[in-house]
Amino acid sequence: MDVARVEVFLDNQDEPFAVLEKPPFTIELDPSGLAQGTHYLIAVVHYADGSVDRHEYVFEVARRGPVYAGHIARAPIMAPIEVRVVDSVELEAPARPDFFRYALLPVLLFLIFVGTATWLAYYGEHAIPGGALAAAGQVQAKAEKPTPATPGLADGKALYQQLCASCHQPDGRGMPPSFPALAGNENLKDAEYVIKTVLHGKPGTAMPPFAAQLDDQKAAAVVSYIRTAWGNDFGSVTPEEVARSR
Amino acid sequence: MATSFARPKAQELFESQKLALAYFAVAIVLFGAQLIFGLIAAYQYINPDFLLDKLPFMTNRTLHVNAMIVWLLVGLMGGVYWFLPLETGREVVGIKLAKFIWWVIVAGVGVVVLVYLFVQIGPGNALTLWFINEGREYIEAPRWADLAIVAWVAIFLYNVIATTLAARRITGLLGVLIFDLVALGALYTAGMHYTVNVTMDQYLWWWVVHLWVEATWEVLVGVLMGWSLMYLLGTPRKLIETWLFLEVALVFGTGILGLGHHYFWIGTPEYWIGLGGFFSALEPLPLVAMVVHALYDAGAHRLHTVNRPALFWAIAQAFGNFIGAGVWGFMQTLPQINMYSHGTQLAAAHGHLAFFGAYVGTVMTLIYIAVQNARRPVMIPLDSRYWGWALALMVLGIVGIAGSFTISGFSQTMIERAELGSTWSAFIQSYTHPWYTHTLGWRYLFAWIFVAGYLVLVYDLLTIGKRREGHAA
Ligand code: HEC
Ligand code: HEM
Ligand code: HEM
Ligand SMILES: [Fe+2]
Repeated sequence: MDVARVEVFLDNQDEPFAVLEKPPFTIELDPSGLAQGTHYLIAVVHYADGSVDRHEYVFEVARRGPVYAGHIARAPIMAPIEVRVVDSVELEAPARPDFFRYALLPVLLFLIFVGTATWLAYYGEHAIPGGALAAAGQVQAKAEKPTPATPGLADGKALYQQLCASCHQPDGRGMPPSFPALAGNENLKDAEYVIKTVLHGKPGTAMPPFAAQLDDQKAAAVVSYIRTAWGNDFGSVTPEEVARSR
Repeated sequence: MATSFARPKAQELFESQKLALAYFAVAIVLFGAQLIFGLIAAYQYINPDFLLDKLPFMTNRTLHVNAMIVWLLVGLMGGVYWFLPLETGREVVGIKLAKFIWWVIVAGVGVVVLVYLFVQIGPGNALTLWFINEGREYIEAPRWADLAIVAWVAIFLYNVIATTLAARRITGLLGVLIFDLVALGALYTAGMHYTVNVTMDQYLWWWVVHLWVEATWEVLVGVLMGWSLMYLLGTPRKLIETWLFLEVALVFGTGILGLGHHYFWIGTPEYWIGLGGFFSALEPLPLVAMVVHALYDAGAHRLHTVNRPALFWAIAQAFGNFIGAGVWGFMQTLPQINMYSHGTQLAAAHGHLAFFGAYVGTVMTLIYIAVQNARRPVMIPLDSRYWGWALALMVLGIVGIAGSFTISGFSQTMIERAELGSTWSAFIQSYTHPWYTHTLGWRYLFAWIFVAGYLVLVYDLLTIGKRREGHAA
C-alpha cells in the first residue's frame, strides 16, 4: 500500500523522534540513551489516500538480566537494534475489496439463510391444519375441559395409584420427610381431617387439593382406601360425609 | 514508573469508537441486571416462596438469561464498532444510522424488560406473541422487538460491508468478519418463527442458540481477539490471520453438524445421534487451537503489553472458552452420556462456564482496551488498580457457581436417571439428596463473590484515569 509517511513517537514526547518516508520503514533504537525499564513506541502510519493507522509497541531496556523486549524483539534491548515499524503485510500490494465477493455474495447468502428458515417454519406450521394459532387455540380449549369421568364404580385403589402414589408411594410408605407415609399414620384416624386434606390440600405444601377432580363418590372411595389399606384399620367414609366437608 | 502519554494530536477517537463506548456502557449495566436476576433465581431455589407471585422463577430466569445474551451481543458488536475504523483506516460508513438505531434498541430493551417484569404473561394468542412474549428460554423477545433487532443487525451489516468496500484494502480479518456476521444475523430470524409442533419449533430455535454460540459467535470472537492481540502484543498480522483461518475451518467444520447434540431426543430423525455425537465431540479442537495461539503470543512476548488487564482477560478467555465450552461441553455431548445427563443442571454448569469464559472474557478484554483509549492522554500503561481483584473474584465466583451446578447435576444424572431410572420417586430422591440440597447454598454464596467482583470491576472502570493526577510521575 502507498504509505506516505510514518511518524514514530517515543514515550511521552509530543514531537516524533523519527519521520520515515520510504520503505523499508525501519528505525534504529539505541538503548544507551534510555533509562532501564519499560518504554513505548507509537508508529503513526499515514497512507497516500489520507487514512491513518496507529500501532503501539512496548519494549524493555535492560543492562543485564533476563528481561525481554515486548513487542519489538524477543531479547531484551541492550544494544542498538533495527525496528521495522510497518507490518510487512501492510506493505504488500493491496487488493481493494471486490464488490461481488464482499457485498453481493454476503447479501445473497443472508437471503438464502433467512429463506430456508422461513420455509421450514412455514412447512412446520402447516403440518397442522388450520395454522399455528388456530391449533394452539384448540389445544387450549381441550385443556380447559375437565377430564371426562371414568365410567363405572369409583375404585379407591385405582384412584390412589393414579393420583396419589407418585408422592405417597404405591405401598403407602411415602418418602419421609418430604412426603408422609399414609400406611400406619395415626392422623388418618380423624375422618374429617383426611377428607378435608384430600379435598382442599394443604396450602403451602406439595399436597394438592383434589376437590375439583374428585366427586363425592370418588373422594369417598380413595379416602376409604387409604384408611383401610396396608394394615390401616380406620374404617370407610361415605359420599355424604365428603359432601359435608366441601 | 507510570508514564503518561500524549497521544499524537491528529488522532482523535472515531465517531464509531465513541458509539462503541456507549455500547460498552450499556453492556455493563445489563450485566448488572443479569446478576440481580441470577441472585434472585439462586435464592428462589433455596426459598421457593420468595417473590413467588411477583416474579416467578421462570420469568426471572428468562430475564437472567436474556439480559446476558443481549449484553454479550452488545459488547461484541461494540468491539466491532471499536476496531472497524482502525482496521479500515476510516470512519464507519452510515454512522448516523448506526447511532439512531442504537438508541431505538436501548429504549426497546427497556420497554421489553418492563413488560416482562410487570405484565409477564398474556392469554397465549397472537397479541401475546407480538407484544408480551414468545415463551422462549433464550433469545426471548416479543415479535415487535424481534423485528427491531433484525433492523439493528441489518444496519450493523450495512456498516461493516459499506465501510469495508470503502476501505483502502481488504484483509483476511475483514473477510471473515463479513461472512460471519451475515450468518449471525440471518440465523437470528430462525428463532422468530412460531410453530405449534414443538419438534419443529426447537429444530429451528437451536439454529440460533447453538449456531450462535458454537459457530458464529466463536468466529466473531476469533476476529475480535485477533485485533486485540495485535493491539496488545503487536502480534504480526500474518500470524493472526493464519491462526484465524485454521480456527474458522475447525469451528465451522465441527460446530455446524455439532448442532446434532441438541437433536438427540427432541423428535428429530435418529441419524442425528451419530452425526451430532461425532461432530460435537470434535468441537473442542478449535478451542485448543485458540489457547495455544493466545499462549504462544503472550509467551513470546513474556507478557509485555501496553495493557495488562486486557491481556489477562484475553488469557482467561482462552482458558475459560476451552474449559467451559470444550471440557464441560464434551462431558455431556456423547449421546451415551447425554441420554442420562440431558436437561440436568450439568447443562447449567456448562452454560455458566462457557458463556463466562468465552464471551464475558472477550467483552472484558475489549472494554479494557477501549477505556485505555477513551481518555486523553492515552494511558500507557493502563492505570487500573483493581482489575486483578475484579478478575479473580469473578473467576472464583463463576467456578463456584458452576462447580455447585456440576455436583447437583451429577446427583441428578446418577441418582434420578442412571440408578433409579427416571421415575417420580427417583426425581424426588435426587432432589432431596445432600449433593443436591447443599449445593443450593454454596451456589448462592459464590454468587455474592461474583457480584463483589462485578462491583470492583465497575468501580475500577469508573475511576481509571481519574486517579492519575495523584500518582502519575
Ligand atoms: C404432589 C405430591 C402429593 C400428591 C399427588 C398427594 N399428596 Fe398427600 N401429601 C403430600 C404432602 C407433601 C403431604 C404433607 C403435607 C404437610 O406437610 O402437612 C401430604 C399429606 C397428606 C395427608 C395428611 C397426612 C398427615 O399425616 O397429616 C393425607 C391424608 C394425604 N396427603 C392424602 C393424599 C391422597 C389421598 C392423595 C391422592 C388423592 C394425595 N395425598 C396426593 C403430597 C402429595
Ligand atoms: C462458547 C461456547 C458454548 C456455549 C456458550 C454453550 C452454552 C450452552 C448452554 C447455555 C446450554 C444449555 C442449553 C439449554 O438451555 O438447554 C448448552 C447445552 C449443551 N452444550 Fe454447550 N455451549 C458451548 C459450547 C459447547 C461445546 C463446544 C460443546 C461440546 C463439545 C457443547 C455441548 C453441549 C451439550 C451436549 C449441551 C446439551 C446438554 C443437555 O442435553 O442438556 N457446548 N450449551
Ligand atoms: C450472581 C451470579 C449468578 C447466579 C446466582 C446465577 C444463577 C443462575 C440460576 C439459578 C440459573 C437457573 C438454572 C436452572 O434453570 O435451574 C441460571 C441460569 C443461567 N445462567 Fe446464571 N447466575 C449467575 C451469573 C451468571 C453469569 C455471569 C452467566 C454467564 C455469563 C450466567 C449464565 C447463565 C446461563 C447461560 C443460564 C441458563 C443455563 C441453562 O440453560 O441450563 N449466569 N443462573
Ligand atoms: Fe450446542
